[in-house]
Amino acid sequence: MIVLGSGGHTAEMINLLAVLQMDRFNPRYYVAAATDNMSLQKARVLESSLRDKDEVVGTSHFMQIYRSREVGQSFLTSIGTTLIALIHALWLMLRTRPQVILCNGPGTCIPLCMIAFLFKVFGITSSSIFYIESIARVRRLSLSGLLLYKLRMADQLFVQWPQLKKQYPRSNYVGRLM
Amino acid sequence: MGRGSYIPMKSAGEDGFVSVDYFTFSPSIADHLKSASLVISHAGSGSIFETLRLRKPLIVVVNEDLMDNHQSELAEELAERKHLFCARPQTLFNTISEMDTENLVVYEPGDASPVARFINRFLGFST
Repeated sequence: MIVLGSGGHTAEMINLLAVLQMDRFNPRYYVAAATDNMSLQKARVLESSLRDKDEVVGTSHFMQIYRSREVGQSFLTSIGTTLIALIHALWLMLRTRPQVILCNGPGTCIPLCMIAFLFKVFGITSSSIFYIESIARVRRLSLSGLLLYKLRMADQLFVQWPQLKKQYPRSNYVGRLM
Repeated sequence: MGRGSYIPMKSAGEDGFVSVDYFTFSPSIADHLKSASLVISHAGSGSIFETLRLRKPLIVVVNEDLMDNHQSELAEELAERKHLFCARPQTLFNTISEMDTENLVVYEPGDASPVARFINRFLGFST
């Protein structure tokens, strides 16, 4: 399962997907926020370019998830929308049962990672969760990154700047993706 | 422009004045970037890397009053590494007049392969 954030996040994810051997990661489920118009489109372009190259690529699926919180949304209504996002995430996870989850923020991925984590705890499905912090995060982790790091929900958390590795020793410094 | 209320005046650039044009969105912004000799941009990572990839001199303007601030970390770090210049709206004029584009360091594009190798190893695939 590949969770796509918006804009720059998707661009970074596409960069990573371009160097992954897709025949090992199959079937692929791309998930984007319901209000994000561009990300699934970029994923479709990537998938069709793979097919054009005649590689053995397997199948891809494109899904949307409700956002837990829009930018600037009030705290009170955020509780309701987060619950809806969690229920939707549960539904998506039951349908896909992914063995691998790739995400890089923003908050779109949190409900999915939380459900995946709970599934692991209760032995329903075991997913390896990989979170790649955005290149724009140099000195501090994003809220999503911080949550996944502190609660130890991600199996591996990657950072793109050495300062973050120093601050968060359990993270992995992998250089820049862009 | 965008969500702001200021709209600049277009000017054809006669009598020694700078010619000014504006658009809110352009599908061919890549062409504009390619023909530019200097780019002044906000601190979005997409804008920054698109310009650096084209090896254009870049001034990133950071407005601390408006934004949520996490974007400025990237601009500041890249400025420290001499890949671009950072300015605030108040210091933009000085930055343009005093900048030395000869001393800018070319930004080498990143590489996602280390992450891919790590993931493959973690999952027990051969790298």
